[in-house]
Formats: sequence, structure tokens, C-alpha cells
Amino acid sequence: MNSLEIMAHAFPQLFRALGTTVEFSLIAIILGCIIGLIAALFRLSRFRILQAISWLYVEVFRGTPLLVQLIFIALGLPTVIPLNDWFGPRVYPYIAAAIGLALNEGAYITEIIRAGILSVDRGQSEAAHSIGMTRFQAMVHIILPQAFKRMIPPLVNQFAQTIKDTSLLAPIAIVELLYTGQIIVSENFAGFQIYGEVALLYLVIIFTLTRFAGYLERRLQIDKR
Amino acid sequence: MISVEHLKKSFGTVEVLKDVNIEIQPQEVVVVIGPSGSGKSTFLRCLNGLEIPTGGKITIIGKEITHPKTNIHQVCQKVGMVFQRFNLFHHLTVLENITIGPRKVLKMSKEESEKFAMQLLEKVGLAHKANSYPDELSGGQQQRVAIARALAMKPDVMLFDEPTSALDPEMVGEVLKVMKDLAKEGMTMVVVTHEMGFAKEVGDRVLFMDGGYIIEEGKPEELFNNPKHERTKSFLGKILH
Repeated sequence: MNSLEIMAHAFPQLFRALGTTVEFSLIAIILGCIIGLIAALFRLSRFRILQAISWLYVEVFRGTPLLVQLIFIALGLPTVIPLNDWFGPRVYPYIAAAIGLALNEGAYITEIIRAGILSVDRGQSEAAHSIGMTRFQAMVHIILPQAFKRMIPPLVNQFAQTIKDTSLLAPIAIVELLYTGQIIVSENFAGFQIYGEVALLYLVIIFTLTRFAGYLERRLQIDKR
Repeated sequence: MISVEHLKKSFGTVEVLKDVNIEIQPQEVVVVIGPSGSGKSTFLRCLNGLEIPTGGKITIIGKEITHPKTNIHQVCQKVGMVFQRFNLFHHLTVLENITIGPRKVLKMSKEESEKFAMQLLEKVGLAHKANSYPDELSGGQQQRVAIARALAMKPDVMLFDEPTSALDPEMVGEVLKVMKDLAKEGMTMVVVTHEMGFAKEVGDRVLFMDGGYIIEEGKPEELFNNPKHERTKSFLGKILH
């Protein structure tokens, strides 16, 4: 078999694994955005205790390696809490992977959303206050819509990072794209072709994401800032 | 309508308002003048809850807004504010800028709020700009939209914080005209401005503020022509040339 045949032969298996990678990416992005929005609002709230929770969360998850977080949740926690018994030893690693990724992405997204909110001129929330809006109404109707457009470029950056971060699920035995590549290479020893193909597949999804983001940004430009 | 007693406001160690006392009657137009840093903007911002006073008592339409139990948002929706830098919502059209308050705060229907908004735009002469975005308008037009936005909440009092200071000279007139019309309709207004013509034409009273106090007050003609206090004299000397 020549190189192209090796890659073509491995393609169906890698393509299925790509599905797992995309699934974990989507879960991490969606949950990460929800966690990030809540943590950002906590950080900007008037309540010290909420500010402290958010601060601690971001510092811990930004200050430790994702791989360590994943191994701690997937393999460390079950040594003191019977998580494998509760969820089943085949299911728990998947839950651990999704939660670990989401919490890590959420920490970075918190900072992106916080920066976006702070970039909106103070005068906007003062004007909202002056027409009787509560802080919550001002946030939902006035601040966030304006902040969102400015958050798109850094968010897309972070989403691309998230997709690549799913490759760190291989060491906790989630059969995603990279791990599948390793399995194939252990059988056919064609590391150059297979890992090259794996890299190419990551590039394709991330390129698709950035193209879509570019389109979205141009669409939003139509109605001004 | 508005009663202010011993109002104090500090930012950190800087005491901006030291002891401000004033009663404002319904339908009265009060013009506030004074050098920069005299506390006039802070005084205005205290009246609609943008700044929380450090001391003293403010009562608006019978509600003490400085009382911790008062729902400040309920009182403040009756107090309209026009800002020096317009502060229109950039992501909304002119019409949406005006309707968002009535719809979200007063829970008015879309149709009703739009009908009222169009009447207000008619009044400020900008009905043809209803579907434009703020950034497509001139400064004077933006400020007139801002006035319409405040009026949409059917306020009992309108506060103006240097509404013409950020405008090119040729646009000052159009904004002042809208404000004069409003004054003549009997709106209660507190206006921080250095537009002496406006003060003389529609002002009932002029307050001169300096160093966190109201130094002197009186009818516009009286205060401009025969200031009693030294500091008022020197300030007027500088701005009237």
C-alpha cells in the first residue's frame, strides 16, 4: 500500500472518531459558555461572595494544566468518591471528560465575556438606569447585545483552542481522534501518514469554524457596531 | 416636587458636594451654573440615583430616594435624564431607542409604544429618522432623540447634564429649541448649562454652584446682572467676556 492508500484505508475509522471529537467540543463550548456567562456576571455583581467564587474558579482552572484537571477528575476523584459505581465504569470517564473540558473552557470564556461587558461604555448602563431599567434589564437588553459582537473574535479563538484541547482526552482513554490514530498506528506502524491525517482533520474542522465566524462577523456588521 | 436637604457626596476622600439644599416646585425650570468641578453634574446625578449620596435627604414626588427601603428604579423612571454625550443605545434604531423603556419597564405593547414614539419623534422633528441607527445621525439629532427617549417614560421631571456642550455650534440651537418648547409646556426641568440665552428665556431660577455648595440663587436677570457674591461675579466675568 502506498501512503495515500494507507490514509484512505484509515479514513472511515478516523472520521467516526472525528465525530466523538466534535461532540466533546460542542459540549465543552456550550457548557463553557453557560458557565462563563454565569461566572462573568458573578464577578461583576455587587455581592462579594459571588465575586470571590468566580475569582477562585477562574484562578484554579486557568492556573493548572488541563491534562492534570482531566486526570484528577477522571482518575483521581473516583479514588475517594465511588463515581464509577454510581455512573458505571464505562460511562464515568465520558462524564469526567465533558465536565473537565467544560470547566476549563468556562474559565477562559469567563474572562472573555467579562472583558466584553467592561468594554461597553458606562454611559450605556447609565442611560438604561435613567429610563428605569434594573441592572439585570440593562445587562440583557443593552450591555450584552453590544458586548457580544466584540466578544466574537476572542471567543472563536477559544473555541478553536477547545477543539484542539479534546486531544488531551486520549490519556484518559476517551476514543477520540488522536487516540484512534494511535490505535491505528499500533497496528500498521504508519505513524507519518496516520498522524498527518489526524492533524489534517483537526485543521479542517477548525478552518470551517473560523470561516463560519468570519461570515457571522460580516453579517453583524450590517447593523452597525 | 424635588426637595434636597443637606446633600453630601464624597468620592473616596474628595468631598464633591458638601451641603446642598434646594426646593424645586412643579413646572419650575432651574438652571445650574458653576465652574468645572463645582459639583453641579454630581448634584444632578444624585437626583436620579446615578450617584448614591453619602449624606442628606432627597425627596422626589413625595418619595424619599435616599431611604434604603425605597425602590429607586420606580422613582427614577419618573425622572428623565439627558446626558452630555447622548448615550443612545448604539445597537438599536432610533425608534427602538425610544420604545425599549416603555416596553421593558412600563410593559407597554409594541404598537402603543411605537405610536407614542412616533409622536415624540414628530415633536423633536426627527420622524423621518425613525429607522436610522444613532451613529448615522449628527450630534444635534442624537441629542434630540435622547430627549425623546427620556420623554417616552412620561417623566415628571427632566434633568439635563450639559446637553449642548458636546455639540458643534450650529447644532446647539435645534436642541435648545426642543428644550424651550418643553419648558413652555410646563415640564419641571433642572438644567446644567452655560447657555445664558436659554436661562434668560425660560429659566425661572438660576443656581450658582462652587466648591460643593449652592453659593447664590435668583432670577436669571437678577443673578446675571447683579451677582451679589464675589465668586459669582468672577465666574460670570469669565464666561460672559
